[in-house]
This record gives sequence, C-alpha cells and structure tokens, in this order.
Amino acid sequence: MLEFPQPTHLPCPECGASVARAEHGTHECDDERRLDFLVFQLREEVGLFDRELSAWLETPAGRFAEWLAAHLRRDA
Amino acid sequence: MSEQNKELSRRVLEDLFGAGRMEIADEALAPEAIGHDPALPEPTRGPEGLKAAATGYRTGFPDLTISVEAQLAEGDSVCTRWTAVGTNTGEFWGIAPTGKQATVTGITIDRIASGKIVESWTNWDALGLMQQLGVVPAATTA
Repeated sequence: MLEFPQPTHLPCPECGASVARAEHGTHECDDERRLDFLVFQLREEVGLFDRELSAWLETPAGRFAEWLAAHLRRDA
Repeated sequence: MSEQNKELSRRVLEDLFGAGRMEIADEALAPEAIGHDPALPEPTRGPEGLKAAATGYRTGFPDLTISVEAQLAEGDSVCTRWTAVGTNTGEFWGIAPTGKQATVTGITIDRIASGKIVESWTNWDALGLMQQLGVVPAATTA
C-alpha cells in the first residue's frame, strides 16, 4: 500500500537547519545557527522591545539615562 | 550546441533563481518565452514574468541557492535535475516566515531556439516544501 509522501529533508526543530531524514539521529546543531533560529522565532518580541526602548529613550527619564550612561562611559 | 544550451539552463537556475541575478532573464529568455510551473497560478511570460517568479521565491527564501545535479540535452531541449536550499525568512505564499531551512528537488526542461529559452516546464517538490515548513504534516523522525 502506498504511504503519504514524505520529504527527504526536514528542518531540525532546534536550529532550523535542513537535515536529511536519514541523518536526523546524528545531526549536531551549529551554535550560531541555533541562536539565529531562536532569535528569529522571537522577532516579534525583539521588535516590540526595540520599539518600546526607542520610545522610552525619548522621554525625559530616557534622555537622562542616555546622558548618564555616556557620562559614566567617559569617566570609566 | 547542446553544451551551450546546458549552460543557458544552468545560468537561469543557479545564477538567476539561486543568486538573484535577475538581468540574466533578459539575456537567456526570448521575449515570448513561456514558463510552466504547476506551483504558480499561471505560466510566466517573457523575461519579466520569470523575474517576477524568481523574486517571489527569493522573497520567501532570500538565501536561496540552487545546484544543478545533472543535465541531459537532446535536440533543442535540455533537461536539468536540480536541488534548491533556502531559509524561509520572508513571507511565502501567504505563510508567515518560519526561519526554517528547506531542501527541495526538481526537474526543468527548457526548449531553446536561436540561443534563447522559448519554453520551460518545471516540476518540483512543492508538497515536500510545505511539509518542511510545517504547513502540511510530515511524519516525525525519532
């Protein structure tokens, strides 16, 4: 009986790399690729954080924090 | 002649689709060229149609690369077996980017006249791509 077709490759669930099905048991993730994959999955949250941080940096408290950080960096 | 025809087909796959060199469409395709790809809603027409199709694929998979695995030439036709690898970091067919890398294979037959591709037929593993992106279920591996 014919089975439903299956792809020859599947993405590694940890790092997203395309891995031949026969090699799924021996595949080792590249650390950099795994990090990139995780960050990509969190891109909405990362984008939201960036937008919120940018907005906060425009507030008086944010502008002062930026000025203070630059001041402390000069003195370091 | 058959070697030139093979090179023409290879350039379209590896350099245009696989490297984003869209200007190759103007050099390699006749203005009236027609491309048949069952994964596309209608045939591509002329160099601009091919560029639009390639742009669509490269939007979904900006790092797309294509490797020619084998070629056969007979008369005015070239048959090319290829493998494509890319990471889905852009929207593709309405699917939100998954970040997953996929590998698919396909076969393209080009008909060539006066040094230009005039008609192409491509069949590739669109189901396998959907399975790799997680849109269609695939058996999980141990």
